[in-house]
Amino acid sequence: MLEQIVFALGDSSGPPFAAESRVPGRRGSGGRLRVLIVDDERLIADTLTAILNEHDFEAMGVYSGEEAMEAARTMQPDVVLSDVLMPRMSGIDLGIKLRGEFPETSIFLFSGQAATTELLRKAHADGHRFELLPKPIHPEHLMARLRGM
Amino acid sequence: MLLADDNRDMREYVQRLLARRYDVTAAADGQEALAAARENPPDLVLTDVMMPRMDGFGLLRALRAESAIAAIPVIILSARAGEEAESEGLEAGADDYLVKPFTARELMARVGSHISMHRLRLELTAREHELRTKAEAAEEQYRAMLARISEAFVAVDREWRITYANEQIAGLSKVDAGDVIGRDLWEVFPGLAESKFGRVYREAMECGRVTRLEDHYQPLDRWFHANAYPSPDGLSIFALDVTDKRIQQEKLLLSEKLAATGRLAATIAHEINNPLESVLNLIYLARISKAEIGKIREYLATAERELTRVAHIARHTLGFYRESSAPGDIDLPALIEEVLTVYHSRIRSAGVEVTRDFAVVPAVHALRGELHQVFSNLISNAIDAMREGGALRISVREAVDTPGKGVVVIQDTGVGIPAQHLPRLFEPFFTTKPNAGTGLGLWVVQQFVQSWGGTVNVSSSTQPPDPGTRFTIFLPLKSVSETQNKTNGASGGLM
Repeated sequence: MLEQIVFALGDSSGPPFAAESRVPGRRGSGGRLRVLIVDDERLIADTLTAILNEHDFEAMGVYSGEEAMEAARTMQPDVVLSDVLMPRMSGIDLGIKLRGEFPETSIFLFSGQAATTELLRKAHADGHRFELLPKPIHPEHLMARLRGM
Repeated sequence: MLLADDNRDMREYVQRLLARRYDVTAAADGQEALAAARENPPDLVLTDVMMPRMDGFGLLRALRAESAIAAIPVIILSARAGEEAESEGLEAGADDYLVKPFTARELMARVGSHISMHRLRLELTAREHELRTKAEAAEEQYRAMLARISEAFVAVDREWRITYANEQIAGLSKVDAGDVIGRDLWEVFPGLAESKFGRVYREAMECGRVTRLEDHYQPLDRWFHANAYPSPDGLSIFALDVTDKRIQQEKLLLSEKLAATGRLAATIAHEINNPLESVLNLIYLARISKAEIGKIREYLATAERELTRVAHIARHTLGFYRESSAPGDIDLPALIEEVLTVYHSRIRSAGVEVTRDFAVVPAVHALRGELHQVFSNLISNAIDAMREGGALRISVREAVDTPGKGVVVIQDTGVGIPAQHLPRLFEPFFTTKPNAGTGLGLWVVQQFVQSWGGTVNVSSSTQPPDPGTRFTIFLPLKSVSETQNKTNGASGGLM
């Protein structure tokens, strides 16, 4: 009980397992937004994770869809930002799976390729809606979008 | 057989002799004999000379005057002996002259021999007539065919004089087919002698070899496809105007090139956008980070490396748009590496592993842009076939069995192409991906490769355990001596 109250007072470094006491998708009770970055281009995943951690985010980077599902179960992210074109599992397939297990998580897709819009349109036709961010994007603009502004 | 003699005893005697073998009609004088001959033309006429109303010579003249009975052999039976009398008879048109009295044997022998000869002559005449009719019919058919074909046809003798031309040549020159017979080919078609076509025709005549050429014909500013067939008498030339076909082909090639350019642009954009995203992040980190200077330098060094990669891609791929229209010497491994650079991200996204097996080979003389498009199309297809990952193996080496040629093999471990599609694979607009692409990618590959004197083959399997597709391209390589000639400034090489 005490831990819960302490939590509610804006502790920014609580353990990541208390998912029930937070409202994902919004900066809840002083907690930092948990963001999971997924990109097979390691440099992008690593630099974005570093940038977000320098700001008021709690970020973790992984390099594939499979790793992302595993990390999400542990981390319970508020936001997932994923590259679209990846081997074996695309960002769209990942997005669909995440929605199934984590319906409250915001999902952003990330791509440098125009053909992605075609893939998105197909997903949209199947009832899945994802937000698309272009590459390259200035980090500050990205962070604003992730915060929901 | 017709027998004319005014002497009854004679008539009966001869008739009896001949009746053993022949059907004999007897007449008492020339007039009667003539009437009988007209009514029922005999195979042979035996006639006395001295007869009332019409004598033997009169009968002979009358027979020879009428075409229906003119060829019937006539033997004169005469009491007048001697060379002079015989000559007179033969000169008058008789076939033979028998002096009375003659033996039965002599008579039968002469009659028999003349009947055989006459029959033989009739047969030969009939046969000759038959052959002539057939030959005329064949020639008529042949001329009719030549009139119907869309090609212009000219036949010349060994001195290049035109022996025959069909109407279609009116489209090639200002003359009608009828006016060119006997005229010199080079005169009737000015400009032909200096053209490549003229050279090819002379080659056909001199070497006795069938030659073909499809090329632009300057004097008329149109494209022609010509076949020249030598014969003992001279040369037969068939020429077809293929300008429209050429124009269509150019249009198709252009549209595919535009589409390929569009696809390439999309691929390049993706290739560049990833490193740019990294660079943006790295510079931002270098700016805002509170970490120590070593870390900052690390960020900047990485950014530098990524920007270099972008510069490399831009230089090698966007540069292809500025291709020259003159062919150059191209190093195959280097060009293939360029193409692989362009597809780097797609290859990684698909989880494809690339293996290179490049030997040192002489350069290929071709248009860089076209060669780039060929490998781009093939590699792109290979990646598409391996969406779930796989292996792409590319090898370049000199062909072992065919000297002067290089062979490039592009092998993937993708889904493979079903056997029933393989024969149609290089057809324009044939595609197994209904919504993607123009269906012209492989057709363009074949067009370009063939235009440089090369060949492209495909083999494929859809069955486990080894599905996949292999494209094998043979290309003529520049020989060392050719390269030397070029640098020595010599002209008239193989190109």
